[in-house]
Parts: sequence; structure tokens; C-alpha cells
Amino acid sequence: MGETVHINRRVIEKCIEGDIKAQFQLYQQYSRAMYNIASRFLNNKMDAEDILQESFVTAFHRLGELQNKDAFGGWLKRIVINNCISLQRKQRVHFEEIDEQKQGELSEETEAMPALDPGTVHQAIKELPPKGRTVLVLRALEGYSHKEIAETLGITVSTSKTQYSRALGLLNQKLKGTRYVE
Amino acid sequence: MSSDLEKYLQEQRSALDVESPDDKAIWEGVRDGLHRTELRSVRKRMWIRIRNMAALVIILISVGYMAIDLVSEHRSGKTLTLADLDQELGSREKEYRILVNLKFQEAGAYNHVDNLIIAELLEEIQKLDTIYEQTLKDLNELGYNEQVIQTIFDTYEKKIFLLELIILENNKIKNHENNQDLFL
Repeated sequence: MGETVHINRRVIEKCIEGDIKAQFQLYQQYSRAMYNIASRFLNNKMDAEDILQESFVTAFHRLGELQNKDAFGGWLKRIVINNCISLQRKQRVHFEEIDEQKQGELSEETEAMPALDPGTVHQAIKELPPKGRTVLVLRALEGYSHKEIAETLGITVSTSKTQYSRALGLLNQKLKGTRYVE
Repeated sequence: MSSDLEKYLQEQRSALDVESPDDKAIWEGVRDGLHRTELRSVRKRMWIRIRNMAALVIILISVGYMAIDLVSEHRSGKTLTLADLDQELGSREKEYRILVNLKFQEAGAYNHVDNLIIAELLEEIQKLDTIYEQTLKDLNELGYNEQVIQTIFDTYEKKIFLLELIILENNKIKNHENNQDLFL
């Protein structure tokens, strides 16, 4: 890990100097992970690719501003997530309050956890409604707290919790009957 | 089941990255984007430089005008004399001035302005004063100049000569008056 960080720091310094090879190296290292994040947020291949491209351009352009070079991955992920949320806003996805009663019904299911294939789960997440999907991805996959989600999306903590619970319930339903592959 | 699913999502986070982007196309887009951004930055920097240079030129022009004004003011405010050019010339001019003043005092003691000869001589002195003023302007414009310096001293000498003529004429008149008194 220490070695990876060291390599990254050197590569990042070269990127700041405008070294194309170093920029490509950094792109290759992070493109897949960032693309999957964007894809889960947006459920649209073209939008995800546009966000990935835009995020890398922004990152390379503003790389000199990054104080802690070792935190590049997290910083890039923030850029991708923020760009995804901006696009969702342009696409008029509003993260308003939802019907808590409905959400309650969904979350009450207590069926046993089936064996799951990651590809199937990934696809199932993408098929969730945009609002719940965003909260679920931020909370369950990107480690945001409900407070951070509320601040990022401009909603209340309560709404974040409700959206998350609802999205998790919906995902649960979608995955019913699927088989886990080792 | 929800908590199991949450646990699964956390544990299998990396495994969920199942899709692969079209790296070739996206990287081309990134390079194009960087190129455009760089061009914008270069243009922005260029505009900032042009703006700074323009501001500098304006400042320099303003300072230049101010300097010219100050010099002109200095020149018009302080008249250059022969003493400013050379101490010896200054001393010589001072001697001439003292002499001229003495001659004026002597000539002025007998005020016979109604005398035609004296009136003509005074008119000549006035002309010499005009020439002197003009020569001083030349001195201020040209600085050290042999011809100008010579003209200044010539003016003093001519003035002294004319004043002596006035004194002489005055004396003639005085003598004539005395003689008349004697005859009376």
C-alpha cells in the first residue's frame, strides 16, 4: 500500500507537470472504479462516460490544488460523485420527502438472504429509482453518513434515512430468488 | 434481510465494479478536454499579460507626462542664470549688474526725459532689455552656449555705453544750466 501511494505521488507530480503518459497511467488506475460509481448513480452508459471524462479533465486541471497527494483516489471519487449529482439535478431528479408508509411496508420483509452475484446486484442497484439509488450508493457503497448525504443532496437527515431504507427494501425485492456465485 | 444486504454491499464493494468503460474513447475525450482547458488557460494568461502590459504602458505614459510637466514647471519656475552654468561667468555678470545699477543711479539723478537725445537713448536701453530677456530664454532652452553668453555680455556693455551717453548728456544739460545761471 505504501509503495502504491509512493508511486501515485510520483505519478501525480508528473501529471501536474503535464506529462501525458503519467496522466494516462493515473487514468487507467482509476477509470474502472470511477466509471462503475458513475454508472450506478446514473444508470446510463453515455452519461457515465461523459461524467468520467469530465471528472478526469477537472481532476488533471486542478491537481495542483490538491494538498494531500496521497488522497487522490478519494478526491477523484468526490469529483465524480459531485458531477453525477449535478447531472441528476439537471435531469430534474429531486430528493424530496417520500411516502414513509410505503417505505415501511417494503422494509418489513424479512426473507432469508439469497446467494448473490455481484453483477446482478450492480444491475439491480442501477435499476432502482434515481432518488433512492443515489442515497443507497452514497450510504452503502461510498460510506457517506446520513448527515453528509443530507448536506450533499440538500435534504434532511430524516429524508436521507427514509430514502435509504426504501431503496434497500426495493433492492431486496429485486434480488429475491437470485443465486450467489462465488 | 436488509442488514444482511447492507453487510453484503459493504463486503463486496469492489466486486460490484463489474462494468468496463470504453477507455480508448474516454481517454481521447480527456485529452481533448485537457487541450481545450490548456488553450483557455493560455488565452486567459495571454489576456492577463496584455492587460498588465497595457496598464504598464498607461502608467509609463502618465509618469512620462508627469515628468515632462515637472521639468517644464521647474524650468518655467526657475530661470537659469550664467551663475548656474559657470561660477566665473556668474561673477562677471554680477560685476556688470553692479556697474549697470551704478550707472542707472548716476543717470537717474538727472532726470531729463524730455530731452530728445536722452529719450532716444532710453528707448535703445529698452530694446536692449528686450534683447536681454530673449537671450535669457535662449540660455534656458539651450543651456551653455558661447554665442548666447556673448550676447548677454554684449547687452550689458551696450547698456553701460548707453547709460554713459545719458550721463554725458545729463552733464551737458547740467553744465549748460550752470552756465546760464552764471550768465544770469
